[in-house]
Amino acid sequence: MQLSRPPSQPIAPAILDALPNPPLPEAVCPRRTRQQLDLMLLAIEALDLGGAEAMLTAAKELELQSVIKNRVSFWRLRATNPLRRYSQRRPLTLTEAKALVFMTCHLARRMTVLIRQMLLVYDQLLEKQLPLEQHIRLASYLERFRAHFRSRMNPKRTAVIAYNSDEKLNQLAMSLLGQLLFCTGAAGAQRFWSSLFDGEAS
Amino acid sequence: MTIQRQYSLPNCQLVIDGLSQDAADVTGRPPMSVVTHVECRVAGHDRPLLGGKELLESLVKAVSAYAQEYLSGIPHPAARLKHRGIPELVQLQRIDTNLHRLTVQSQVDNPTGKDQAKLYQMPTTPAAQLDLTTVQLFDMVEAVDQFFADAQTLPELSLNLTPLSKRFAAAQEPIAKRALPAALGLSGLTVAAIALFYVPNPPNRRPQPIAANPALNQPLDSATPSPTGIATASPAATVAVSPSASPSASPSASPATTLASPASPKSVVVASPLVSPAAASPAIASPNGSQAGGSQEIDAILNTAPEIREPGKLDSIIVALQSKLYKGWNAKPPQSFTTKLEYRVGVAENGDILGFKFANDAALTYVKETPLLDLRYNPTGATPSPVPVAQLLVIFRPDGILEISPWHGTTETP
Repeated sequence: MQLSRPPSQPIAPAILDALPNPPLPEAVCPRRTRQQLDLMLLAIEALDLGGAEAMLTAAKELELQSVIKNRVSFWRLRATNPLRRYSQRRPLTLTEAKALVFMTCHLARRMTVLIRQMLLVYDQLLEKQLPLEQHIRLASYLERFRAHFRSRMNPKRTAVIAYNSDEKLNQLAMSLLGQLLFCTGAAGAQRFWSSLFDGEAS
Repeated sequence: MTIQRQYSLPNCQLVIDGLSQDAADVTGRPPMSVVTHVECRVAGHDRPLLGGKELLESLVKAVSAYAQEYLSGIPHPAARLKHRGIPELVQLQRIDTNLHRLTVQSQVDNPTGKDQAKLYQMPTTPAAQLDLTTVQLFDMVEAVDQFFADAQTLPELSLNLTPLSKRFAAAQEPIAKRALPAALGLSGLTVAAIALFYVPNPPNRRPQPIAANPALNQPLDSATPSPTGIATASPAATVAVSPSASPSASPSASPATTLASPASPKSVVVASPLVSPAAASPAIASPNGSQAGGSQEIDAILNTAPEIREPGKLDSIIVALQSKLYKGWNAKPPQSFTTKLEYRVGVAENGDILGFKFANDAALTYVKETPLLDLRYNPTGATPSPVPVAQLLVIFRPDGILEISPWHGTTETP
């Protein structure tokens, strides 16, 4: 019997072909891409208490097990984020990034109503100049996001030091929430994917 | 055949009226190929955006580019500009973190969409301006995406997403911000240069000959003179004086003479100064050996013994020493050295020379021509009692003059 390809390289799931390979100088994800993917997943975790479990379930539902095999390999993909405390020095391949994009969009779509509602509430609270703590759901999202961010990101990094106050982290959390909303759309995955390589294409 | 397509979302409704060229297909959903009228309503804004095909094309392009800008944070020029720098009919701009301004440039007062040519040539005057929240913007993007996904409405328009190239990212930071580090560095250098211009030059201090002599800081037995320092002296003498090499000194010197003598009588004459110190080497070596053994004592005396510093006592000691040394020196054969011989001499209160160290290289070479070795007081006891000691600088000058001064007095004054 002859193998058509070495067994160490699993066949990429067909779903990933929906996203075109961007014209990059190298076929690995640039720094900003890795950072943004991890932060979006961090926002999902802050939204959903069982987010980490839901992500692994989503990988199964989307049949991405060949890329995201288990909890550890999933963590290793996310830890390619250079801001992480235990940042991995391995590259993130385009196939792996596509899998993370589909997972993000899949989970965000499930929470579309919640995301919309929280963005509307945020606008209203800002308009009335009320503190964000007025809305319990929004406040708990922001609090959890801040806690996740501070516990997992390397405080020595300049990019992390920039988020040294609650207000700045809240702003980051809200902008990620808005970006998650755009992932829920009909072409959300394509738009998110394309935006990840803005300013990186050759 | 007139067709209407609607894409409705909670905050945005996109209605496209158009014609199908394929009139025969009545049963199914005929493809729309010509747009006659476009209407875009946003919740909370009374006036809808009205227009024709140009509005639709510009709207979908701007909205699509702006959505990518929102996701990546990198400005997309396509959200505002057409290809050649002409402002786009529909423009989107961020005015706050969660507020987005949509501007339609030309007045579209044309509900039936009949004079599209006129619309195209309209001057660009802001006609409509809508401020959208993020959720409203998303609904508009979603309406556009649903329109793109609908293959039966204007199939030639489709979603075309490409990431921006590097040159757009580079332009993201304003030039002022990028030039700041360079400007700071340059101005810092200028300020430093001006400040240092007014600082006076440090005074040029000549190195002191005594302080520069390494033999001072080392114990005597390790102070083998360097070949450069003794360049005036003969090489055989160097070997003879160094205590460790003294046994081998005479054999090494004698072959030199035997080798030199058969060559020519002249060379023997040349070699004779070589021979005489070599022949004298045992004579030098013996006091040298005792000196080497006593060098630690000298160090101990010079470093630890209480020092006589009173000027009156020093003067009397100097006078006593001077007469003693002159007497000894006059008894010696005429001196052959051409440079000053400097010694650091430790003298007891009664004028006895307790010990001395060489302060320059010539002093070591010509020590036998000075009366110091003869006049040195050899302590009889095993350990010398810690008598007070005056430390003096004694200089034997080649012209037969003796200079004596307090050691510390000479080092402190330049």
